[in-house]
Amino acid sequence: MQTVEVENVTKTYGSRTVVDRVSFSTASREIFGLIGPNGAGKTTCIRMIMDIIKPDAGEVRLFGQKFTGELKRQIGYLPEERGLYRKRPIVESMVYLATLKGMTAAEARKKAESWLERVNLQAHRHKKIEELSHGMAQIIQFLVTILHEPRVIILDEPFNGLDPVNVRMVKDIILELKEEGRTIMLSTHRMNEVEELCDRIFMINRGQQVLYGDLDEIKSRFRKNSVLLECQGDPGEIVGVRIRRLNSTTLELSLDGDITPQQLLETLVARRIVINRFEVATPSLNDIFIQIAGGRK
Amino acid sequence: MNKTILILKSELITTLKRKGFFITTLAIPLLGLLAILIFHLVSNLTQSTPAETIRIGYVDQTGIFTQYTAQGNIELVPYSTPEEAKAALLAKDIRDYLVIPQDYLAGGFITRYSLKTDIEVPSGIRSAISSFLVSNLLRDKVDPAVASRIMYPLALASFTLDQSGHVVEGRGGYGTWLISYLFSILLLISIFTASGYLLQGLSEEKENRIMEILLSSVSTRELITGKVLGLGIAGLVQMVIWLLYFWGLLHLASGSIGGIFSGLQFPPSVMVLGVIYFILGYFLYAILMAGTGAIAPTVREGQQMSVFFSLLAAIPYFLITLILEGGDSLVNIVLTILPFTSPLTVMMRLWAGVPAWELGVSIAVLMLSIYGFLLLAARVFRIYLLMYGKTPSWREIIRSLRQA
Repeated sequence: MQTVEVENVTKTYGSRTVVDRVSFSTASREIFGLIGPNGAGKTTCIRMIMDIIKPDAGEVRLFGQKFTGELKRQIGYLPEERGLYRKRPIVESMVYLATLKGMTAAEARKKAESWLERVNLQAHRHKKIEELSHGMAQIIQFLVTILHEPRVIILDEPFNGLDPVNVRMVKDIILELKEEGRTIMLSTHRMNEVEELCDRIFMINRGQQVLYGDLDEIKSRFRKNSVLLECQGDPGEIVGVRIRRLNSTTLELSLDGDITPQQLLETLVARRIVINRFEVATPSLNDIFIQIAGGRK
Repeated sequence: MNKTILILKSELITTLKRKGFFITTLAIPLLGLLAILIFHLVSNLTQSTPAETIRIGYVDQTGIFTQYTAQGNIELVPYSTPEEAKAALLAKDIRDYLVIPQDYLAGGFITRYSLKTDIEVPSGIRSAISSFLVSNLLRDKVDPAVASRIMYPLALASFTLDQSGHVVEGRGGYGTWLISYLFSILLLISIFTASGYLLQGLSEEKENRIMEILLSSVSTRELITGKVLGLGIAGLVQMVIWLLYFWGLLHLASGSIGGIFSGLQFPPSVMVLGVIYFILGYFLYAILMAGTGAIAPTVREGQQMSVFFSLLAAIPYFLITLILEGGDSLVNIVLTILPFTSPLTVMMRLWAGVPAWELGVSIAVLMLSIYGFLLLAARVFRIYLLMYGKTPSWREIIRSLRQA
C-alpha cells in the first residue's frame, strides 16, 4: 500500500526554485532513503510532506488522501534541527508532544515509561533534558518521534550524535518498526546506513530528481564491468581486458563488451593462477552519490 | 482533546507555575499593603511622640520683630548681636540663625546662617519664618482675621459636576492622579508580563529547535492561538487579582489614611473597562510580540526587538500630566484612539471620565488593529518560524511579507 505520494511538487523562494517537479512515493513495510547533498531540497521536501510549508505546485497525498490536520497524527517526524523543552522533565515533554499527536495523556505516559525502559533511560525519566548527555537527548528525541505509533516515520539524520552502541539500538528499532508494517523515510548523508537499511531510495540534487528506485537495481545500473582480483603471480595479458594495479595486493581488471567475468575466471584458472579473491566490482552508494552529486556541482 | 486547548492548557499551567509570575502577582498587592502598614507605623509614631521643638535664632536690627516667636514646633529666639547668635549656633543651642538687617523693609533681604548644608531651606522652617515676619509686620495694622487670610488666602475645594449638574463624588485631587498612575502601571505590567512570556516562549522554542516538532503536530494557527489564549488567561488572572486587591486596598487606604484617598470611589466601570482594555491591549501586544518572537533567532534578540513596543505602549506615561489635565483635548482624543496608546490612556483618564464616543471609537480601532496585525503576523509566522540564523533587516522583512 502506498503511504506517501509526492506528485510534481515544486517550491520556490523568490527567484530560487528549491524543489522542482519532484515525484516519488513510499509503501508500507519499507525503509525509503531520501538522499542528496547539502542544500539539495531534502528538508523542504520533508516539510512539504509534513504540511509545515505548502508547495507552490503539485500535490502531496497521505494514504491516498489530501493532507489534513487529522493525518498529522499518522506521521512521526524527527527533524535534523532538533531540541526539546530544556526545563521540563523528560517524561512530561514526551507525554505533552504525544498528546498533541492525539494520544491520551495516560496512554502516552504508559508508552513513554515502556520505551524509556527499553532504551535503559527509565532512571532519568524525571530529569530535565538539559541534565542529559547529548546522546541521551538524541535517543529521547527519537522516542518522541515514534511514541504515538505513527504509520509513517520520517527521520532526518537520525544517527547524528549517537555512539556506535546507540546507533545499533536505533537501527534495530527502525527495523522492528518496518517489520510492524510502518513506512520509514530516512534522510541522511551516511550512505553506508542507507545501503544497510533502505529498500528504495530517492536522490535529489539542486531540487531535482536524479535517482529513484530499488537500491539493488540502482547499484547494478551503476555497476562498472570490472573485476577486483587478488592472486599469486602475474595473470599476464588477456585479450579484451585492461589491468590496473590498485594497491600492492589488488588488481582492477576492466572488461570490454566481448568478455564476461565468468570467461575471465575460466581463463585465469586455465593459466593456473592461484586466486585469493575474485570479486565482480559493484559501486557503493557512496561512489554513486559522489559521482552524481560531485558531477553536477 | 482539541490541540489548541492542549497548547492553551500547557502554556497556562507553565506560566502559573513560573516563580516570576507568582512573585509578581503577589508582590504588587503585598507592596501596597506594606506601604499602608508603613504609613500607619510612621503616623502612629509621629502622633505618639510630640514634634521636637526647633530653635531658630534671629538678630532683629529693625526692632519690628518682637512677637509671634512661637510658630508651631519652631521657636524663634532673639539675640542682640550676630556674634551672640553665632556662639549659640556653634554651641548647638539653635539650629540656624537669621540676621534681619536695618533696611529689611526696603529690600526684604534676610541672611541665614546654619551648620547644616541644605539644598534649600526646609519648607517647614521657611513657612514658620514667613508667618513670623508677616504676623509682626501686620501687627496692630489689620484685623487678626484679615492677617490670617493674608497668610493663608486659599483653601480651595474643587467639585466636578456631571451633565445634570450633580456633584460627582471621588474625582480630582492627588488621590485620583495617584490611582490613575498606579492603575495604568498595573495594566501595563500585566499586558507586558503575559505578552513577554509569549515572546520568550516562542523565541525559546525557536532557539531550542522545538518549533519544527510542534509544527509537525499542529498548525501555525493552532499553535499561536493556544499560546495567545493560554498566556492571556494567565495575564487576566493576574489582572483580576490585582483589581480585587486594589479595590480592597483602596477601601483600607481611604479608611485608614484618609487625606488624598478619602472619598475616592472605585466605580465598577473601572473594573469592567480595565478588563476590556487588558484583553484588547494584551491581544494587540501579544500578536506583535509573537511576530517578533517568530522573526528573532534567539530569546535575547527577541527581547531587544520588543523594547520598541514597550516604549510605544509607555508613551502615555511621558504625557501623564498633559493627559490628566487635558480633559477632552486633542492630545487626549488622539492617544485614546491610537491602538498602541489607548489601553493606558483610557486607564489614566477613566477616573476623570472619558466620553462614551471616544471609548467606542477606541475599542473599535483596537479591534480592527488586532485583526490587521493578526493577518500580518500569520504571514510572518509562515516565513520566519522555521528560519534560523541571522536576524533579518526591516527591508528583508518587508520584502518577504510582500512576496508571501
